[in-house]
Amino acid sequence: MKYRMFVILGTLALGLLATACGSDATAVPAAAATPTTGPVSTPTATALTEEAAVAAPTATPPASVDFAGKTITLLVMYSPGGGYDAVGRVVAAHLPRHLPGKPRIIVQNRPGAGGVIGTNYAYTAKPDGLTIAEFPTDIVVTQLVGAPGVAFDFQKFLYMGALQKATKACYYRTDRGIKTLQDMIDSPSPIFTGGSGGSSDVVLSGLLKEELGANITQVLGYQGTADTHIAIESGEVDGRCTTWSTVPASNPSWFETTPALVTPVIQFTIGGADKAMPDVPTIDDFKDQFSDKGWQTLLATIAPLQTYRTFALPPGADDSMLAAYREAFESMYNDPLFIAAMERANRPLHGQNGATVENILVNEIKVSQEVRDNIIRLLAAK
Amino acid sequence: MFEAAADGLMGLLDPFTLGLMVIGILIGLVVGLLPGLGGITAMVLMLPFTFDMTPIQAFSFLLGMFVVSSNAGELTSILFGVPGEGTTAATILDGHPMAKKGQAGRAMGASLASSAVGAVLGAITLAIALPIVRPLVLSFGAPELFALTILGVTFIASLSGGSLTRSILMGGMGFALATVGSSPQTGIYRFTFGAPYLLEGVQLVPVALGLFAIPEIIDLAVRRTSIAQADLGKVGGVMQGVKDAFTHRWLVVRSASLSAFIGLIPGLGSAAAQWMSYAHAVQSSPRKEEFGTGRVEGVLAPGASANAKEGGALIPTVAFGVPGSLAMAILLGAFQIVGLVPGPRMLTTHLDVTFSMVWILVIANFISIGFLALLLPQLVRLTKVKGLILVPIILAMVWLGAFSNQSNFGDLVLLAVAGAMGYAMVALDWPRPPLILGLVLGSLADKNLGIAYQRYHYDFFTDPTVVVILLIAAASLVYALVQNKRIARAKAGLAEMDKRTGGRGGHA
Repeated sequence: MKYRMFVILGTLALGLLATACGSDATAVPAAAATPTTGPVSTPTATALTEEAAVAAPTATPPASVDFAGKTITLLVMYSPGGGYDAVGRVVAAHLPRHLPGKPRIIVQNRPGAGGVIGTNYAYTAKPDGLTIAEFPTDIVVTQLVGAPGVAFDFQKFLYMGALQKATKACYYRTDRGIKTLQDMIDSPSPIFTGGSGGSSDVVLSGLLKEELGANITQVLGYQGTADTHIAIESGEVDGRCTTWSTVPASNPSWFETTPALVTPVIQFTIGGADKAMPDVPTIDDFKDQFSDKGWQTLLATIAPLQTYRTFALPPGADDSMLAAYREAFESMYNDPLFIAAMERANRPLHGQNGATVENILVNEIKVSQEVRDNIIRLLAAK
Repeated sequence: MFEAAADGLMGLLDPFTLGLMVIGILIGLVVGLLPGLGGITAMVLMLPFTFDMTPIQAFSFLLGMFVVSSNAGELTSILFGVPGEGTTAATILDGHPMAKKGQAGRAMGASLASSAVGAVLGAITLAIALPIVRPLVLSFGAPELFALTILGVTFIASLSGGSLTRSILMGGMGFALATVGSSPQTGIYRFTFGAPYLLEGVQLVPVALGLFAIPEIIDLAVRRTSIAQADLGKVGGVMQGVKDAFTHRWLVVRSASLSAFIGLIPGLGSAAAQWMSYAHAVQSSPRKEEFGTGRVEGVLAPGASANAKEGGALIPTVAFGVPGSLAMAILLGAFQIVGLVPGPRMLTTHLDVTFSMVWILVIANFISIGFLALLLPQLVRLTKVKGLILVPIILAMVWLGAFSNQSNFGDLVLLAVAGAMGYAMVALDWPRPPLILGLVLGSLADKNLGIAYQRYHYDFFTDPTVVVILLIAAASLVYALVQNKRIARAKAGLAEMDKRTGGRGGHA
């Protein structure tokens, strides 16, 4: 396997080099012509090697759908290198062998405006089953608050399933002495909570402050998880509210000491604790202290997180196509090879089928104007 | 630690791993030599091939590719006046005028020699910094980063090319353009005028390509000659360029160290490093007025910076998971694919992997310089090819390079606007570098000032580190002001001399 890869890459490199060398009269035109087959049309599109696909049990396809010899484009709405990209590439490597006709899947990154640009593109893509999308979860809140540029309706996508379930939690430096929600309310000095402006994390911190009286001051402007975690480690901020699973995954060293550097204080889950934090109080326990509007705002903010890393087809694809993808997707997340790949990428797997995802995103999320206005207000307040 | 360094080297010397590095280098060489396209594009395309590699194999493949394309990118900057990486345009300012004067060989020799020294120094900085890097980086919070961006802004004064007023106006315009897009604090969109493309802000790559490449292409088309207007001499003086690197060795060393340090601080971003090195070369030269007309120091400083800054930028990437540059962001993707978690373990349990990266930087650099040296004679001759043959090819490459930024047609519109602006600025003698530096530093200043104010209000101005950095900035500004007056006087003198001799020569 190694040698095959070696040969493919070697040929590619030598071919390219051969066209670039030679006499100066031909050097430039030849070199210029070479990449037009690859990076020109889709500069960040990436073909996967066949090596990644290993023989595995195939799902039984519905008769009318066959992808033999086809190439499917998987749209990822963020740049290469992030979490969405990493999971997208694992799926692109494993989904093909569960689809009828074993097609090839290439990843195409369409980053921009927090996922809006790519999601707009996916929404209007031809629904022939050859374009699929990794759906950006935060886009739900983006649409609800009426962010500029939104030209899609997330409730019209056809969902094939989801791979993870995310639970948000607020966690603070253990040496700051905040162990319970009551400590947050009683704290005489402000609790500096870091985060990125415009994200749903800001709404959750805002709700804790307004509805429960926690003494939070938000410090916003950090660019993502790693950036905020440096600030927590250096003591610039005391903690953060965000998806908990990324904390031990990206900072294993924080949990090697006793006590750990940070402690989760409250988790935003309904109907039972996340199994990763069995002893941390859930926001459910404080429901009666919330106003009705506040509670509805909370529900709207955390509902999409139950279906994290969701994959979808553009609106308009026919039923047999959707059925084929749903079946393949479910078969993929139960496949030991895929489970191992997700483990290697440090992504806790929580597979959910298309019907479940559809039920949560399409049927359960019903948001009043009052709640929308509240989310918009909380995003702007600190 | 020495054991880990040796383990890292041993892991790398496996024939299969070395073979992958050479393949990576060959791919990077071709992509890097195409003007406008850089190693980033190549790395993204090759990322999936790393699925079945061990960490050291994956890094030698990707880093090797990146190192050579950044060296090759310097060469395209010199030859065609097109920034190789989109974000590293400083080499053009003096490198391309040298090519026009028939000294492309000398400029390329100087660039390669200084980049070899830069890579080694960057690697040494990296190795020395490893044990203290986490406490060092953690001591730089938002207030200190804000002060550093202010220090960077004072470099604008040195990039003015004489007129300080125009320079400050352009720097201010760069700052203004940096505020387009979502506010880091509130997520509210600013100055986007309903255009979805602007939601992400004004992109650096199309702006840099437009400002610098388009005017050169128009110039070449209008002149209807080849790039080099003078005779080449013996292979254009490659060895002379290598000698230059040793004549100005301390400039090379200082530029490399400065860039490694800028790369090391997470969030400062290595896009600013090359400009600051160039500004430093101007500041420290006794003949400032000649920069921009083809001084070899103007090639040496950015050349030394090219790989040194990546050595520095590896540190926040491996130790904190915060990519210091675009290339490092792709490398971070490779981390996830091979199942490594950036963080303190990279400095303890996986120290050998981290050290292997240091070695890769050095070894890949020497291999790639070897390859490029073989190609130099051919490349030099390109400057004698008729402009009318080169123009369409370079132009196509530049459009491609801009489009590969986000695969958005907005990139092309921005390139055209920046190109028109760049042409007007050259024609009317307005300086372009302050605009780029303002764009790079503006968003950093915006973000860090916001965080510092939310956290400390105005108290952060009393922090001792902040005070010291701001004092250095003030001193640097005063120095530049004094020097600028001198340059203006010298330029007036030169113009007087030109008038008398009736020619443009006399200050090569």
